[in-house]
Parts: sequence; structure tokens; C-alpha cells
Amino acid sequence: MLTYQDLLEKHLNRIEKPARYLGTELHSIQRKKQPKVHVALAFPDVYEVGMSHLGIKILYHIANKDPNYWAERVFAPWPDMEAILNEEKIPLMTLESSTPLGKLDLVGFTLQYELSYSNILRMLRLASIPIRSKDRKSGPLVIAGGPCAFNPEPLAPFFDVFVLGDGEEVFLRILEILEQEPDREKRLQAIAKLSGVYVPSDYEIEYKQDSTIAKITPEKKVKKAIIKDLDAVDYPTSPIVPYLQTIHDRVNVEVFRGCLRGCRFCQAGMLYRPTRERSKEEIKRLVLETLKNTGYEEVSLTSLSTADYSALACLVPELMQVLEPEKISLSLPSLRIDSFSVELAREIEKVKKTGLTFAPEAGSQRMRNVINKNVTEEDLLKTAEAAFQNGWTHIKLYFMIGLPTETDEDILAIAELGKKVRELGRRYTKRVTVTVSTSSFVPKGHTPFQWCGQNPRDELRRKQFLLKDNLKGPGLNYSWHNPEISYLEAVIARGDRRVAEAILYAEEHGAHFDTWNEYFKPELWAEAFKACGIDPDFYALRERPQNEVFPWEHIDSGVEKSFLYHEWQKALAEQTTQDCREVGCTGCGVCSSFATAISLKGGE
Amino acid sequence: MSKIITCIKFGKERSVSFISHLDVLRVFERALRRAGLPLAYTKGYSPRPKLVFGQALSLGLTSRGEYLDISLENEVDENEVQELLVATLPPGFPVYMAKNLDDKVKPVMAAITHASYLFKGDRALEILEALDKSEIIFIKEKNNKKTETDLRPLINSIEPYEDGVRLICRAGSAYNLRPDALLTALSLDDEQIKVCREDLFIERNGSLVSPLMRLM
Repeated sequence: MLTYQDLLEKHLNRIEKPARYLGTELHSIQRKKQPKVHVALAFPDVYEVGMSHLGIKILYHIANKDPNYWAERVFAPWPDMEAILNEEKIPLMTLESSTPLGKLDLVGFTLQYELSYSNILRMLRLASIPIRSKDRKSGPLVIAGGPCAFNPEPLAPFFDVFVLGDGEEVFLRILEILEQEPDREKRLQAIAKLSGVYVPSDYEIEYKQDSTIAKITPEKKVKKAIIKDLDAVDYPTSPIVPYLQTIHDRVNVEVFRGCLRGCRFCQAGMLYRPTRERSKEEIKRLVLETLKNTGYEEVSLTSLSTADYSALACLVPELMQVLEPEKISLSLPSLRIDSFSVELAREIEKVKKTGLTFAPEAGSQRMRNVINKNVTEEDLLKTAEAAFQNGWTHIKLYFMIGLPTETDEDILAIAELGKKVRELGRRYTKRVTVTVSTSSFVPKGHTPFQWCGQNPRDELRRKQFLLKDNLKGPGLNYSWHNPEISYLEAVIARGDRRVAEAILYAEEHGAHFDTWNEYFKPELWAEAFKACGIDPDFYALRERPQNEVFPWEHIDSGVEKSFLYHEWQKALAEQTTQDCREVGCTGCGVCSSFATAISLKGGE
Repeated sequence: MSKIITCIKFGKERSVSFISHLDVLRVFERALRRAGLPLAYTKGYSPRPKLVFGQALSLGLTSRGEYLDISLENEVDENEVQELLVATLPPGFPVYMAKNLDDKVKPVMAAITHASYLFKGDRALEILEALDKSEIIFIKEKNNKKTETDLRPLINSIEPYEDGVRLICRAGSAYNLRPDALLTALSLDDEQIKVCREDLFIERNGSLVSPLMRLM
């Protein structure tokens, strides 16, 4: 049987980036002996994207620490390699040992975004693993985790099991079960009993005449798994160092999980509550150890909102003291809109002044109150001024369009804000550039906006043109997202089990790499929905009544539906809700649900 | 303490032959950092270690003779540099030798003039026929423009070697013979001929010497 190495030798001229398929990178795990449990961690996108994902790094490390287990990686093969696998009639294989996926005990996918779903089905197809769970009587268990598992329904027919929430502990329990129990059916039964595990075939969905959901049986909800103390779980300090440049090619240390800002559009902010910080000393240890083991030239402190880490003001200078003499740079992926963030940026970018990026998310104060993005125009202008004073010349501003209750006035406010920042910059530098970037809002489940409809595509395009017309002139740039992609994302994000058929149809007819503009075919998806008798507008555009049973009703993130609805009503009334670590409990329900509390270890 | 160039001779085995030149550069940057050597950095906005490679190697070729100049802030024992790199480089990159040179020697990339390649495979011996030709035209198409180059003057010698042939030819930034271009020009490019770069050289007084023997 041919290995990836053999395929590369044979077809070198046809493969754009052979280093995607080597599997021999520094710190990749090789085993000489057949392990007791052999699994694959699968990321349904190309190598450079998948290798930037923190979750896979964590699970790879945790599983491979035990010499009885072997977790290998598999990514979506790029179309050049896919053609060769098909031609040679070779099933999709793991990277490290070129083992066909069908020979493993388990294949675990991470669900990071809805538009990768076609790639999941394609990977199963390439591996010759039956695509529907009910058709798999032997071979590996096919499971999934990650944020999109919180609405697992559009993938329900394809997966044996979904894991909800923090994966570190559940994944180890699953490996233990695989080690002890050889029988496939009994393995599934044992895994089903773990907390955080959802078995879609155990649930039945009934629909009403109007196509909404009548009933989900049984009524028992599946609660997410949660790690209460991040310091107590293992974190990889010898991550694989890729040969290819990946998207986040650097030391990534997760400083905390969760975010309490309560932005109403943000699914991650609701799903990963409560905030749990790593201690400052632990973060420093992880950074230094990882640098020593990898030789990277850049460190990033990651989280949903790193400027909110409670001891960041001490941590950054302490780290810089060690990193600066070694010419290692530090980056903070998300800056808050305040002068503290500019101060931090100044601290870490002593020599290199690249652009600064801020996310006001909406142009008018009214709109920012609706989405609960608690910054004012004054905050933004002050922050921008501080940045210009400190020598930055390029500022990027991120916004969303198509938000609930949005009017043209709110859209024009985006342009106004961009221009104000440019005028401010001109007082300090002649070279100022302000880049305004908009994405189109996609309502997601488990958020206060799960009840609202998405703007139709034509409306989004109209708003984009409105901005294009009003963001002309020197020093102003405008970039936007393809509304077709946002629309498909919205259909799948709040889709139910019936949507699964359309995903399968689209994949069978050629859909894959939908997040890649050159491969995305909206007409193909439109055809798929039509062929499966699905009205995509029903999922994307419809505003839902308060009592609607959502497809994800039985999936419990810990945040109560009544809290989300209350937030939705407050949004419509343009009222804000403060961060609970500043004003006390706001009643989302997650802490009582898991008998836990926010953990601000950095500040100890 | 004064700056020094440590030149290392290393190889690229089959398992890493699909890693591009730029990626190999990163492999070395990171291995050198892990080794904790006193690297000299470039000045400017984004300081990087000062590294100079001998000559880029085409994707898919193996090599037994690659060279890298490393600028160090102060002298480290040659054997120690070799041992440290053996310990920190990923598998597939053997380090044959390290040699300390004065930091005023010509950078290895500018110094290289010749290379030797080993060809193996069923039809590799046919490469010997190149010697009898008065010209070997290689046609390169780029942006719909064809350029013709005569490769013959770039060849120094071709001789049988083990079960294949050894080619010694011009290499470097001024005149360079790519082995894959030669195979294409000889219509041997569809054959499964394996190419290994055996070594790189500097011409001095009519003979070829190792880049490790560079003088000021």
C-alpha cells in the first residue's frame, strides 16, 4: 500500500505543497509498536488552517502522553491530492503513519465553522467510511466536538457521537473506553453515558405543519462538559512545529477560556462561560517551556479577549523582559478599545509598528447598545488618538452589518466613524490609513439573537454599496464579505436535521472547501436545497417567536434560554448589560448550572 | 569578543526532500534558537538571525552537500555547534561538519561556483550522451514567453558513478545548471530518475574546493 511519501515521489509535479502531507514534523508522534488505541484527530480544512487550531494541539498532546494511545492527524486533502488519492484508489490516510482512516478505532472531527461541513463528508467519502452513522456496523467511531457541536443537528445523521464543551477530560475517558472494550456497539453505549456526550440517534424530532419543531424526545437535555480549573489540565509545551508556514505559526498560550463581556451576537461568549483564567506563573512557565522546545520567534497570548486577563498589566512586562533580549515578539490577538490596550501595544511593539486593529462592531451608539458592545465613540477616538500619538499610522476597524434593528443611519455612522478616525490621524501623520472592514451578521443559536432573522442578501449588498459610496477618499479603505457565504452560514448554523440532506446533496454534487472563494459555489447549494425540498430562507431570514422550539433545544450550554430571551428584549429596547465581574451576577445561569464560579486566577 | 561565521555542511534526506527552500530556512532558524547559540541578528524593524544558504535545492531532490553560514556574536567550538545542531534539528537533516571562518569571508551563496549531482535510475546512463552534443537547448516558458538556453557550456563533466552518473556543472547566482532542466532538455524528465546533490564547490586556481575552505 502506498504511503504519502510514495505518492509525493510519484506525483511531485502535481502537488502544490507537498509539505502538507509529510507527517514527520518536529514533535510529531511516531510509534513503532501498534498502539492499543489508534485514533485520528481530523480537521476539515487544509493543513495550514488545521495546524493553527489550538484544540487539536491540546488533544494530540493529551492522548499521546499515554504510550498505549496513538492520536494521529488528518486534514482535508487539497484538491490536487484528492485527485491523486482517487486516481490511485487509495483511501484517505493519517499523516504520521499513512494508515487508512477506516482501520482506526475512532475518527474525531472538530467543528469550527459551518462551511467546513462539506469537507467532513468528503473526508469520510475519501476514507471509504459509510457517511451515515446508521450504515456503520464496523470500523471507527466517528465523533465530533468544537463550538458548532452546540447545534449538531445539521450533522446528526453523520456522527455517532458529539462531545459538547471542553474536550480535555471527556476525550481521555473515551480513549479509556476504547482501550477496555473491543466491541463497537458496547463502546458506543459506554461513551453515551459520559457527561458532555450527545448521541443523536437516541433523539427523535417531530415537526409541525408550519415546519417548526413540535417536540424533541426524550426531553432530557445534554449538558456540556466543563473544565473548572485550567491550571489542572495538561497543556502542550512541545507542540508540533510545522514545516509550512501556518496561519498562526507561533507559540500560542491560552490565558483564559470564556468571556463575560456579553456581546449579544457572540456565540463563543455564551458557550464558553464562565471565565476561567490560568495563573500568571503557569502562563509564564508555559511560554518559556514552549519557546525552549520549539524555537519559535513569536508568542501569542490567546483567548476571546486577552486584554481582559486580570493580571495582564504585570504579565506583559514580565514576559517582555525575557523575550526582548532573545528577539522574540509578543502578540495579543484581541485588543480592547481603551488606552490600556494602546499602552500594552506600545509595550510589546517597541520596534515594529504594524497596524492596530479595533472592533467597535457597530457604527452608532444606538446600535452598539443593541448588541451590547459597551464602548463609546469617545473611547474609540481616544484610543485611536493614543495610537497615532505613539506612532501608529494604520488602523483597522471591524464592523458588522445586517444587525437587528439596523437602519441606514447606523450604516452611515460606520463611514462617519472611519472618517473621524482618519481626521484624527491627520493631526499626527500624513500617512494615515484607516481600513474599515465589515462582515455580515449571522444569527447563531445559544445567543440572544437566536430569535432574529438575517438580512436578505440583497439588503446586505445594498448596505455594502452604501458604505462603498461613503468611504471614498485618500487614506480610507473598505473591505467586505461575500453575502452568499454569510447566508449559507446562517442556514446551516440554525439548521435542523432536515438540512443534513442538503449538505450531503451539495457534497455529492461537488461542494467542498466552501470557505475558499475559488471553490465556493452558491448555485450548487441553491440546487441542493431545492432538490431536498428545503427552504433556506426559513432558517436564515425568519424571525422566531418566543416559544419556538429550537433544533438545539436539548443541548445545554448552561446559559438559560430565559436569560437569552431577556437579553433579546433588552437589545430591542436598546438597553445594555454589564460584565458580571464588574457589576455582580447578571443571572445567565451558567455558574449555578455547573456549581462553579468565574475564576480570576491571574489577579490572585 | 568578535563576530564569527560558522559554516555548516549538512544534508537533506528523502524524508525532508519535499520541504521547500524557504521552509528549510525556518527549520534552521528555529533549531538554532533551540540550540541557544549566540546568534547575530539583522538590524531593523524585525530582527532575524543572519543566515546565508549556499544554493537553493529544488523540491524533491536529496542532498549530501548543503552549506549554511551562521553569523554568531562570538566564537563557539565547532564540534559543539555540530553536536547542538544534531540534537536540535528534526530528523532528515544530518550535520556533517561545522567550521569557524572569519566573518569577512565571502558569503557562501556568492562564493559557490560549481555543484556535483548524482543521478540514479534505469535510464540515468543516457545522461552520458549529453557529452557528445554540441548544444543542449532548454526551453523555458514563463508568462507565455519562451526563452531558450544552451545548457552544454555549463557542464564540466559527466561520468559513470555506481549504478548511475555523476555530473559536475556550474552553479551559483551567475551561471547555474538545474538538474531538472538538464533532464527536460534530454527528454528524460518523465523517467523515474532520482537526483541527489552530492556537493557544492568553489573554483580556486582551476580546481574545485569545499566552501568550508573559504579564505578571506
